Amino acid sequence: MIELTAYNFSFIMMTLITILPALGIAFVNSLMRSLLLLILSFIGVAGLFVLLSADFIAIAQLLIYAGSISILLLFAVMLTPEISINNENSKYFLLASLGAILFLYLMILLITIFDLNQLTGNALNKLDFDNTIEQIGTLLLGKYIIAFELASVLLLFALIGAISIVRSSESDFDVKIKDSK
Amino acid sequence: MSFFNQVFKGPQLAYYFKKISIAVFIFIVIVAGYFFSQLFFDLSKFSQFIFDFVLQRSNYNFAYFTSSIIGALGIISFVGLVLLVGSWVERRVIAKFQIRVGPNRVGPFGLLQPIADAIKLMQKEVLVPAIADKTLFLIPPVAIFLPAILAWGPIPWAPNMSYLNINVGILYVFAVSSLTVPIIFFAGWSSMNHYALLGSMRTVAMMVSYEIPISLSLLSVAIITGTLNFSEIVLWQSTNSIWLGLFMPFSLFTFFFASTAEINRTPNDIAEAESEIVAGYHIEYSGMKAGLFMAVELGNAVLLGALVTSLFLNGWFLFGIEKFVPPYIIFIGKTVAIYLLLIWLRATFPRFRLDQLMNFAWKTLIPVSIINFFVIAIEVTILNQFQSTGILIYIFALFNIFLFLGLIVVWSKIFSVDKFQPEKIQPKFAGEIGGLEAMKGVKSVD
Repeated sequence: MIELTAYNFSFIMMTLITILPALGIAFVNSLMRSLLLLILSFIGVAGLFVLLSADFIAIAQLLIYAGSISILLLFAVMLTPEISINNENSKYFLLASLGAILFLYLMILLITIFDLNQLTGNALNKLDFDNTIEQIGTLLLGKYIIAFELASVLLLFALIGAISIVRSSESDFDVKIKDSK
Repeated sequence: MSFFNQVFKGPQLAYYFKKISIAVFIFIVIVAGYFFSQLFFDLSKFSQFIFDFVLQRSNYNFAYFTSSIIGALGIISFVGLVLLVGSWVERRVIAKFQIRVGPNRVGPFGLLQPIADAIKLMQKEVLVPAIADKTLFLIPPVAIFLPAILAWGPIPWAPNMSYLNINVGILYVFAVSSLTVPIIFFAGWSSMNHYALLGSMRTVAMMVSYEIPISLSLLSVAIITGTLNFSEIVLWQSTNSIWLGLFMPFSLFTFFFASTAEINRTPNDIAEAESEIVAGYHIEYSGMKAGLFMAVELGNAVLLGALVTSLFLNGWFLFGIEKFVPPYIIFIGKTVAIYLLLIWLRATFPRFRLDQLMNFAWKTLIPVSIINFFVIAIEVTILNQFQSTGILIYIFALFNIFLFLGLIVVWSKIFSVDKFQPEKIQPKFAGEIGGLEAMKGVKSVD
């Protein structure tokens, strides 16, 4: 039986906040409601990162996933017809549940094989720093500078590509003015 | 009696009595305030006392839990007090601007008016539209309070007096306040009202675009202070004896203006443009549910004051006065000053149009903030070459002020929006495009 310390209690609470909405996403019929549950699930993951004393990654999770990606998904969901009604259950229910069971089996294998104490907050506590931001900054602009720059170039291309796709040609404006007259 | 009447005529007597009583009142307030301030100079003693008191009677975890709960209650009660007093202050001050009296009937000076308003709002019936998504409809008014209160956490009230003294303070506030965006969207969507949906959509668009200039201005604060911790930013300003608002006026302006867009204050309160979309995303909410949205907007305005104070106005320091007055009083004083500035803006400026706001964000604020950011980054590299910043920081501050003015002039004269628009789009009357005859071709929505 697991000892119920404050850490374990918070871990169980955060896990519930993550998993229960994640189950809800799959079983709720309304897309909007499942999106709300998805945001709640993201917040739970941020709480798990806090428990691992990874403060920067927790805030980044909150900022990027709960704050920004959810907005992106909102606009995507708005484009689907019948957001809140008549979302029937998937035809591939059996296949999906088989996949879920296999994934669970894989996770159990991973947890039992690896020594997780090396990967949790205990490993961080042994190291000699109290501020993860400085460590992440020096690593990103030192050891992993090429990957960092490549990622930024990739994002720039994505931005330019999105603008060039969305941008309408000038002839569109002329048509509109003619129509109105 | 006749002598008395000769010296003090009737109205004169009342006049002098009023003056003297006001003077006596101010004197009593100053004396009592001095004694109270000496007693409550360092509030960290009290929290330490509570922590030790509980620790003697139980284990560490429980003591930590209790003191954190008490600290959270302190912040929540402060926010509640701000919501009550703030609405009164806002109405009275705006009434002064508009040469009215304002609420003055309920209680002395109308001070009990917010309580009367709250009771009235609670008594009203909560109407839920028949076609609304009822679960989603009832969540947003409550959920929108979470970011508004969580963001108060890392605010440094005084030395050793900040609830969440975390290394990622600025990012935390930024991340938590970005959670309001989906909540506002859910409020608008679940109402199943076109005006509400339009209001929430334009609010989301505006918030997303104004987060970029805010993050750029916060980035410049972070690179010069070398930290994201609020307390350390305040201490940096005092050790280098300069207010960051003076050192980088454009960042201050960007942060202030863009934050008014984030919290839906005039001149950027596009979310509730009555003339265009009736009331915005909270049109279908009635009673206390609408009141909660209003309260959050007011609380966010005061929160903006606290953020500007700690980031740009040197927090609890004020030219040595902080040795005699409790530092948190100075902090709250600066916060209230920013809040009064916001009320002044609300009373003075008209509302921007949506397209003007978006153009201003994308074509002016973001490019100019990037230029400003690079200039500050170069200055920081130069400053880091020296042991002490000395007089160089004041030279850079002067340079930055001129840069601020120069960039405004350059951007308004040379790179203005009109230059890139091939022809000006003039609004057309219905008669010009064929009048009501043309409208007959349009299919009815019903």
